[in-house]
Amino acid sequence: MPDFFDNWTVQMRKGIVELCILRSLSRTERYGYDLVKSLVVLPGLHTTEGTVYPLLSRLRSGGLIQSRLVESSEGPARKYYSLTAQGRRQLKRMNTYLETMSQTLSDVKEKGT
Amino acid sequence: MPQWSKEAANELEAYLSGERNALDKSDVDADEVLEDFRAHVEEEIKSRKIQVVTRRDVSEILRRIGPLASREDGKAANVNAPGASQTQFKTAPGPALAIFGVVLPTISIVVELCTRACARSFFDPMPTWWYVLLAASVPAVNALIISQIRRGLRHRPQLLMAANAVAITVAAFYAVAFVPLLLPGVVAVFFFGFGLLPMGPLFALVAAICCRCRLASFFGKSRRTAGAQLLGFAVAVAFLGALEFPNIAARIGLELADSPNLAVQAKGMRLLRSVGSEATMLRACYERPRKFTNLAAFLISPENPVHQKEARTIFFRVTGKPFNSVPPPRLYHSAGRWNALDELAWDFDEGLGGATVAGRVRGLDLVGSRLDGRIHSQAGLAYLEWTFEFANHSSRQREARAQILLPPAGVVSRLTLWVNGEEREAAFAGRAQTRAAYREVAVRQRRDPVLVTTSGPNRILIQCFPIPPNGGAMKVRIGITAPLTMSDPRNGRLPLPKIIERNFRLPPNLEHALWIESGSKLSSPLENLKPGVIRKKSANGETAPFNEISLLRGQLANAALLSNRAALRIRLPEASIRVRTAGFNPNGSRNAEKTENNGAVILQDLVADPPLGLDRLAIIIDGSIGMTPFHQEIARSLAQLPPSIELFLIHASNEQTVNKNGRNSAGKPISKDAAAAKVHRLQAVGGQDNLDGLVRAWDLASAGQKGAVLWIHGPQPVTLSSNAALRQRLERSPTHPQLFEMQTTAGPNRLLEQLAGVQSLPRFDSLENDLADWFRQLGAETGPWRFQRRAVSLDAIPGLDEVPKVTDHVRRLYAADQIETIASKGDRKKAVQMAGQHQLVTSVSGAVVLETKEQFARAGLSPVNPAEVPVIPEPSSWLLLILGLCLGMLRCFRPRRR
Repeated sequence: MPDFFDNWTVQMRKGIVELCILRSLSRTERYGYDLVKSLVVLPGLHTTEGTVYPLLSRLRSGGLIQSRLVESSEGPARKYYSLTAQGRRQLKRMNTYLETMSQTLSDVKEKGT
Repeated sequence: MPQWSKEAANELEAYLSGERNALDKSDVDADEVLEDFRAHVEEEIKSRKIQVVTRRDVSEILRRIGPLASREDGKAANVNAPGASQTQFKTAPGPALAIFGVVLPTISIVVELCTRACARSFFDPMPTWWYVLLAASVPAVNALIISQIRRGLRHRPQLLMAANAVAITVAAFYAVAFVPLLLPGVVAVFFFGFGLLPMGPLFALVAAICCRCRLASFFGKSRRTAGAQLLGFAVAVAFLGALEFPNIAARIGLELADSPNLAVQAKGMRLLRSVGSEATMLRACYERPRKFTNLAAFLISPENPVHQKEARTIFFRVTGKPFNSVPPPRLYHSAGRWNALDELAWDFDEGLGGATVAGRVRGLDLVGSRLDGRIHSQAGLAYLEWTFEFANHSSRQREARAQILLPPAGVVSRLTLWVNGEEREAAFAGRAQTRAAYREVAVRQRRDPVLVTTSGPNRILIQCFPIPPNGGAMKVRIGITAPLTMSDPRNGRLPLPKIIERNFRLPPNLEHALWIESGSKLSSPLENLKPGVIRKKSANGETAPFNEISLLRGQLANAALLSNRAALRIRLPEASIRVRTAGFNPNGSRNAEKTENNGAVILQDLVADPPLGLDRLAIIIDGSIGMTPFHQEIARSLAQLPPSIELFLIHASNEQTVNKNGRNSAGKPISKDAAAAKVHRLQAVGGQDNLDGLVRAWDLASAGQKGAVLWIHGPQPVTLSSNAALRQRLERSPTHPQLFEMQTTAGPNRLLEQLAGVQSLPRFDSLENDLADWFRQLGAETGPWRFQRRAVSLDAIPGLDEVPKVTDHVRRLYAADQIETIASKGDRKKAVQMAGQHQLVTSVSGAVVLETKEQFARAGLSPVNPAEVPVIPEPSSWLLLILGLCLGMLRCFRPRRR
């Protein structure tokens, strides 16, 4: 049932990309191009630049991340992204939730319940 | 920088355009995503070090990146994102933002510039080009930001944020200013379908704020953009402040200065002098009640705004200048159509038909001025004819008014108006009668009259109306008879007449053309007047076919004519000590020869007055700012004062700080040196009221046996307080003490206009020299030389037949003196009658030229016979000249017959 698997992976990836973005920005602000490039090469994520940019836009308008333009001598101004305070809180909650989920999966796998 | 081929650029644009449609249907900010994406593609190309970007390169990159707006993205990010719906803008700037932020404000500005509707009805929102620039910056910045966001360009975010902050500040400023007009605008829109323009600033403000939100969303938040915004606000506020603060300060200062409370008045004066805008004060001098010409006036509009008259007084008190001595305020410094619009804002001539010059009117120029003169050296007098040509470039009829300072003891003896190219002579009658005729014909019937009346000692007011609009012209001429001022029996001087106040403009290139002739040697300290000699046909052609006549001619700028050096020097022949007229008829000039046969002539003697013999002199110095350059000269001239005269010094000032100094020492005599030192230290400010000081000076001088007051002053264009106390003193005690005045610079003097008995000291040179001359004369054994005239019978004095006969102007000067004497004794009717008979403008009479005989008849006036008016040369001379020519021709004709 290949259709089932594709659908299931899509469902799995939903939310994971956002989490990756937030985690990538948790330590320092990142230049947009670099951030996207680093995300699209992550194994298993199967994401593209075309996917990441709309997500970045949503996260920014949702107040989880913020951006600023930095003048560049090599061309147009570069956009740098960073986490907002709200984004940090959300990331913490998401991490906690993911750990719980992971633990649950492990428990189910080991104990069958 | 990689070079993009056209195909590559098209490929990217087509891709983005396609993706936009999909993004617009989602909940993401399409502009932001597309711009980020564009930047990503550019970075990708740069990282691949592609020098020339081809369509293939772009296609390859886009294929790898994959479609934007993937179905995969879903709405995951919106989950648990509080406030997201409130903060994001889902669409690009729509047409509404462009219409209300750009189009409507632009239309508002253009309509206001073209029609001046708001400027004429409420206030002038754009009084200078700086304001136009400021107002235009709002739609311009809005347009730039909208365009930038639409095109997805991210260049110079800080600059855009700063510009937006400027636009918000300016729009807010105008929105507040237009708040009172919003309700009428809404009503007009509701009922008539128009009236959106007053709402332009408000719409522009809302649009600018929307632009700011979009910019913040577009660029994100950063310290730099926040700093740029703050900088923009600061720049706009500083610019607006720089433009408006002096205006607002001036308006507040005017209100305070108009207060009946003296302390508040003083505060207002200080504010106006320190930071008040002179241009705003000048506007107040021309504004009609509740017709404000700038924003500050409109915003700070009290219940009882400062009236023109008070504003003019305050203008003088602050600046020390007459308000009409500077060009009137302008709405625009441009030509053509703007002038007409400008004119509409200031078209009200409140002085029309009145007895004052009042404010300048627009479009009226003096385009021609010629001064012809003849010095009758033997008679010690001059006859001058000054011809004025006015042109009216405005769209309304205008009245030209000017106050002219005559030479000392001068009198107007002729007035001519050109009607349809023909000269019309004036009727001379009582002041009230001539003025009533003028007002009836000029102001009511709007025909062509000209009126000349006196306007105080040695001053006349000439007014003519209507000067036709749109380039119409009017030409008038006044004839002035004036005695020479003699410094000794052989040397005379004649100050030239001057226009000291006017309501018209003198074009920069206007020069007065002078042509003065004399039988004696003429000279002038003015370099532009060139001496010469002309040969004219002699009256007695047989013995001396030609007379050599001394000549001075040249072109004088108005500034040169206004200077004190604008005077003529004449060397008189010895025979001028005693002269007489051909005949004199007390009832006028008619039948003069017959009168001589009856034995009556005017005898003129040049005599030296006895010395003044003063024992006390109170010098009062005008405390106005215009006197500052003369303090040193006054101080130096004091050295020439005779030591025997007790000296008092008063600094006329209504400023408390300065007044205090004056009051403390004014009551005590002061030495010449101490007086000079005090004058050196004087501090002048604004325009000062001299009346109080004059009264104090009069009182001090009157305490002496032979006291006098010398008032040294600048122009006094407004009356600051009542002159009743001084007039009472002068009327009750006209001979003691004597009151002398010397004016530093030419200009109007409202105080002198109302005071009889003040002796004006003529000006020929620098103030220092003129004062020193007068001071020296105080110590001389004789007084000044002057002409004494009397009517005598030929039989009364032996040898009178042998006395040289001179021009009939001597008779006019005699009559002028007699008229003033008779009038001062209270027989006004007789004085008026005599003025009419001798055709003279005096303190009791005027001259008016009307257009038709019917108008003269209706006004009960009769114009003078053209054959009897004075000309250059006199009619009798012409007669002699023609006679001489006839004799010459006869002589030539006789031999041929033989």
